[in-house]
Amino acid sequence: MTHADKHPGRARGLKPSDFIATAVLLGITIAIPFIAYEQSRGALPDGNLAGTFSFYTAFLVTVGVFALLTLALNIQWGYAGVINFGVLAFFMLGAYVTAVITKGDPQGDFTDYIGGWGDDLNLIPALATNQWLPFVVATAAAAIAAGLLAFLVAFPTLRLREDYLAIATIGIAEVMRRVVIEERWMVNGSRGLTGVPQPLGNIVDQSDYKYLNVVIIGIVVILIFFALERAVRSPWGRVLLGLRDDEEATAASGKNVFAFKTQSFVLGAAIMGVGGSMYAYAFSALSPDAFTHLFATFIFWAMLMVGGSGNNKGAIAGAYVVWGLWTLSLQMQGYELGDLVQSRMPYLRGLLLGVAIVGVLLIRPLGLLPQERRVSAWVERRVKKERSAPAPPAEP
Amino acid sequence: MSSDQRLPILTVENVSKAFGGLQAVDRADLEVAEGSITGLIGPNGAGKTTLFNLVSGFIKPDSGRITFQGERIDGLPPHQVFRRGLVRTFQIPRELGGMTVVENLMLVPGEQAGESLWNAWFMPWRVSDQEDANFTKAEDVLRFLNLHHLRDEYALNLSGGQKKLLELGRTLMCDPKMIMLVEPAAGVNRTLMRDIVNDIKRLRVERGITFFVIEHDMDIVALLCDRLIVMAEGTKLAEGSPDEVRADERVLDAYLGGRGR
Amino acid sequence: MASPVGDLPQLSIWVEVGLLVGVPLYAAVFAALFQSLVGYNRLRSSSDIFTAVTLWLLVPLHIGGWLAYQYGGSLEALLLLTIWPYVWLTAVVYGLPRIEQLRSHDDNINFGGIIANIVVFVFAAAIWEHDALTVGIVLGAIIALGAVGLTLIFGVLKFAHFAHGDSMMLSAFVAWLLLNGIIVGERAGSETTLLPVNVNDLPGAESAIWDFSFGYGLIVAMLLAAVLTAGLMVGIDRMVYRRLRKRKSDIVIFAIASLGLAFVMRSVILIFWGPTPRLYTPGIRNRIDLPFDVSLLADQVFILAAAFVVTAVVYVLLFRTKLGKAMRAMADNPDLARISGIDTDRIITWTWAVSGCLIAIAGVLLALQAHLDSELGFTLLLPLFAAAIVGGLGNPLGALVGGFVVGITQEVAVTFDFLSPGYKFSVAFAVLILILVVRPRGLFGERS
Repeated sequence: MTHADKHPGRARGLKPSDFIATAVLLGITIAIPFIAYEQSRGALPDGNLAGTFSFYTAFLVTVGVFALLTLALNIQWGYAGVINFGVLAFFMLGAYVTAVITKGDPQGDFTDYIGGWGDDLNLIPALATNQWLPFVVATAAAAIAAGLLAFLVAFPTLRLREDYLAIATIGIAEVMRRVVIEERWMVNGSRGLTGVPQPLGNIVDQSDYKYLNVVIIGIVVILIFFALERAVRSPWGRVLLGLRDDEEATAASGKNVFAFKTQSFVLGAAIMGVGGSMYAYAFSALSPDAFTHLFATFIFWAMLMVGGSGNNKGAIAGAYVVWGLWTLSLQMQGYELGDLVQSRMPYLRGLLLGVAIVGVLLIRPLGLLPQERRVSAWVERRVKKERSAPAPPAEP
Repeated sequence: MSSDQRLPILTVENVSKAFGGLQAVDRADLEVAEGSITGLIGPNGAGKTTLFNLVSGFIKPDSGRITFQGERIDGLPPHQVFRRGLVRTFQIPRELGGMTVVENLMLVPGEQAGESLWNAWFMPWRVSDQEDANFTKAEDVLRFLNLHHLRDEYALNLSGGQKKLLELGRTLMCDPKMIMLVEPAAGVNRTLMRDIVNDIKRLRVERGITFFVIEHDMDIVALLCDRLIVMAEGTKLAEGSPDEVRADERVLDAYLGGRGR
Repeated sequence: MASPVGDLPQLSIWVEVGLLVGVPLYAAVFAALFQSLVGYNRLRSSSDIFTAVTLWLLVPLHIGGWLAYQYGGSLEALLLLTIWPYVWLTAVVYGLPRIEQLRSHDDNINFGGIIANIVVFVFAAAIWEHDALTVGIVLGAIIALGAVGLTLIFGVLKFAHFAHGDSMMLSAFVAWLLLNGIIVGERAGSETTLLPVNVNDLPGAESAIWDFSFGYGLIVAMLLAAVLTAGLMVGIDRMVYRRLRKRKSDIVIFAIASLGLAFVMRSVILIFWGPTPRLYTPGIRNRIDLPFDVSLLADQVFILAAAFVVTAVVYVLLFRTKLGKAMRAMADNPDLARISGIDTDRIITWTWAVSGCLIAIAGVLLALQAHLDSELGFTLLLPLFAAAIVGGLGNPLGALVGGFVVGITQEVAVTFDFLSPGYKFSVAFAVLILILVVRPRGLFGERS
C-alpha cells in the first residue's frame, strides 16, 4: 500500500543506518552551541562567553520562528497529508499584516503603505494599551488573515487530487510576492518596511532585545506546541491521520474528508500567520527579497522531513538541526576556503537542503523522531494504566 | 421463498454509469431484501464494483435512482451514505497502516465529540468519556473477531486475512443497517474463511444486519448467501436462490463468455 | 487588420475590466443559449429558462447600444450598454446553478461555453492587442512544449513533476555551456571556460543565419542539450523515482522528491553560472514585418518553427508508433497495460527520455525568447501546470492547446492598465484556478 514511507509500523528492528543517522543528528544538535562560540569569534576580537550567549540567543530566536512554521506545516502535511508548497504566502501575509497594524502612519517621501494603526490603539491610556494591544491585535489579525487566505485557496482545490492543491499553493505564493512588489501603495513595494515595533520593545535596550524576544517566542512556541498536541492526539487528529493514510477508507468510515482537510489546512495556515508575525517582531524589518521560495517555503519542508513528519517534537527538532546546519555552513564561510568555494557557499547550502530532502525520503523516511505509536492521548493513558495494573489471568 | 416477501432495504432503479466510452453500469435494476445475505456475482467487468461505488457514494450515477430505506441516496457523498447506516468494505483491505488496530476501529464511530477542535481543546472531559466508551466497544469487536491479541499492533503489520477481519470489524463499530462486503474471504485460508462466514451469519441473526456481498468463490456463495443477483455487462442478468441461479443457463453463458465476444 | 473600428479612444479601466471579464462571459451565455435552443443541452432548471428569457429581453438593449454608437455615441457607451448587462446577468443568474453543481461534485459544466470564451478572448485580443497576441502565441508554443512533457510524465507516472520548470532552465544553461563552454569564475563577475571544446568552435557556427541573432551552433547545442537532458532525466528516475516506486510510495512522496530535486537543480545552476541573467548571443535581434500589421522578431519565427517541428515529431511518436501507443495506453489504464504485457519499466524510461528532450528544447527556446535566469524555473511551473490542467492532465494534445490558451491569456491580460507586467504568472495562476473551479478534468480530460 501507500504508507510504507511514512510509517513506523514497518520498522522491524533497527538497522545500523538508523544508529548512524541518529548519532550524526544528535552530534550536530549538541555541537550547535559550540558553533555559536566559534561564530562569536567572528564578531568579537576573541571569543568569549557573553558573545557565545548573545549569538546563541539570536540563533534560538530564529529557530523559534522557524519552529512555528514547521509545526504549522506538520499539521498540514504530517497529519492530514495536505501538501502546501506555498508556505511563503501565509508566512509573508502574517508578517506584513503585523507590520502594517503595529507601525505608525507612513512618514517620509519613500514610504507608502496602508494601515499604520499602531498609534490608534492607545484606547485606555491608563492601561498603557499602546504598549501591548497593537501586538495582540496584530498577531491575531495575522493568524486570521492567513487562515482566511487558506480557506479561499482550499475551497476550489482541496476536493481534487492532492497535487492540485500543491500547485495552487505555489500560485498563491507567487501572487502574494507579486502583490507586495507591484502594489507599492499597499506595503511599500520592494523597498520593504522597516522599524516594525517590537512587543515590550521599550523596556529593554535595543541590543538586548533578543533576550526578551527569545522568551516571548519561546512562550508562543510552547503554547502552540501544547495546543497542537492536544488537537492531534484526540479523535480529531485520528481522523487527520486516517486521511493521510487512506482518504477513501476514511470517507468510507463516514468522515467528511473535505471538512477535515480544510480544518487542518486553515489551522496550519493560521499558525504560519503567527510565525510571520513573530518574524516581523524578531527582525523588525520586512522586504519581499527575504521571502524567497528557498527561504520561506522550502527550508520548512527540509526541517519537517529531517525532524520527522507526523511528530510535533520532531518538527521543532528539525527546525533546530537544519538551522544549525545552516549556521554551521555560515561559519565555514569564515574559513579560508579559496574563492571558488567561498563565492558559491550560499548556493551550496541550497543544494544541501535539496539533497537532504531527497536523501531523507530515500534513506530515512521517518526523520529524526518518528510518529507516536498511539494517536489518541486517551488511548495512550488507558493502555498505560492497564499495563501498570496487575496482569489479568492469561487468556486461553 | 420467504425472502421475497421481505421489504427491500436497498433499491437500485435504472442506474447507469459510463466511463468515457465504456458503459460500466447500464440501466441496472435490483433490490436487496431487508435482513438477507444477498450475493452479487458476475464475470469480470460486469460492473459489480462500479455498482458498489455508486451505491456507497464514491461515484455519482449518470442517471437513475438509488434508494436506501425509502430515502434517495444517489449523489450523496460517501460520509453521508455512511451516516444512514450503509457501510462498505473494499476489495483490497484499506487498513490505516500508521495506526494501531484498536485506533483503526475507534476512528469509525460517527459524531465523536473529540472530532471537533473546540472540544479537543476546551472540553476534554466530553472527549474522555467517549474515548473510554469507544475503546471498550473496539475491544469487544476485537474479541468477537479473535483479534484482541493484536490490539496495539500497527494495522500495517497484520496478515491479509487479519486485515479482512479488521475491515469487517470497522463496519461493526457503527451499528450499521446494511454492510456491503467485497470478496470478504479472498486470499484467506480455509479455517479463517469459515470463521468469517460464521461471523457474518451470526451478525445477521444477532443484530439483524443486511449483507450485500460481491464474491467470486462459489463455495462461499453457497455457504453464505440466501439470495443471488447475477450481473453481466452492466445490468442484472438473473436473480434467485443459489440453486436457481446455478441452474440458469444464461448465467453459465455469461461466465463462459458466450455473449458479446 | 489593425483594428476594425479605426482609431480607438483611450479606454477607461472599467471598460478594460469589462472586456476581460465580460467578453468571455458574454460568449459563455450565448453558447449556453445556443445549446439550449438546438436542444443539445435541454433547459433543466428554472434559472436556465430565466436566463434565456432575460437574454432575449436584452437584445433590444444591445441593438440600442449599437445604434447609439453609429449615431455618434462613444465606444465606451457601446461597450457599457452591450456588455455590462450581460456581465451582471451572468454573474447573478448563470452563476447560481454553478454553485449548486460544485456542491454536488458535478464537473460537467458547459464545454461549449469555455471554448467560446477562449475563441472570443483570442479575437478580442487580435483586435485590440495584436502585439501581445503575437508574443502570447510564441510563449504559448514554448509553454505547450513544456506542458506536453509534464502531462506525459503525469499520465504515465501519475505524479506532478515539480522539477519541470527548473529542469527547463538547467537544460537551457547546459546548452549555454555546450555553446561557449563558459561558467562563472572564481571571483564574482569573472568567467572561466570549463569545456576544452565547444560548439562555437565549429567553423561558422557563430555567424548568424538569415535574420536570426544566432548561427547554427545554437541549434546543435540545443539538440546536444536535449540528448543530455534526456539522459539526466532517466538517470534521476533510476536514482530516485524508481526506488520510490519499488517501495510503492504515495504519489505525494514523488511530488515532494521532485520539489527537492527542483531546488537541487536550481542550486546547480547558481553554482555553475551564478545569479546573473544571460543571453545566448549578443547578436542583433531583427524585427520582421508580416502582413496585417503584424511584426515579430526573427528569433520568434525560429521559436514557432522549432516548436512546430518538435510537436509534429512528438505527435508522430505518440500516435503513430508502437511506443507511443503503449505510453498512452499506460496513461489511460496502467493496470490494463501491465496485464496486456507492456513492459512498464521500458515505457517509463522512454517517457522520461521524451520529456527530457521536450524540456531541453522548451528551455532553450524560452531562454531565446526571454533570457537565461535561474529565478525563472520555479515560477515557470505555474503556466506549465495551468496549460497541462487546462488540457486535462495526462492528455498531450490538450496540453498543446492549453499552452496556447495560457500563453495568450497571460500576455494579453498584462497589457491592460490595471495589471502590471509583473503579474504575468499570476494570470496563469488565475487561469488555473478558474479551470479547477469550472472543469477540473480540463477541457479535453476524461471524467474520472
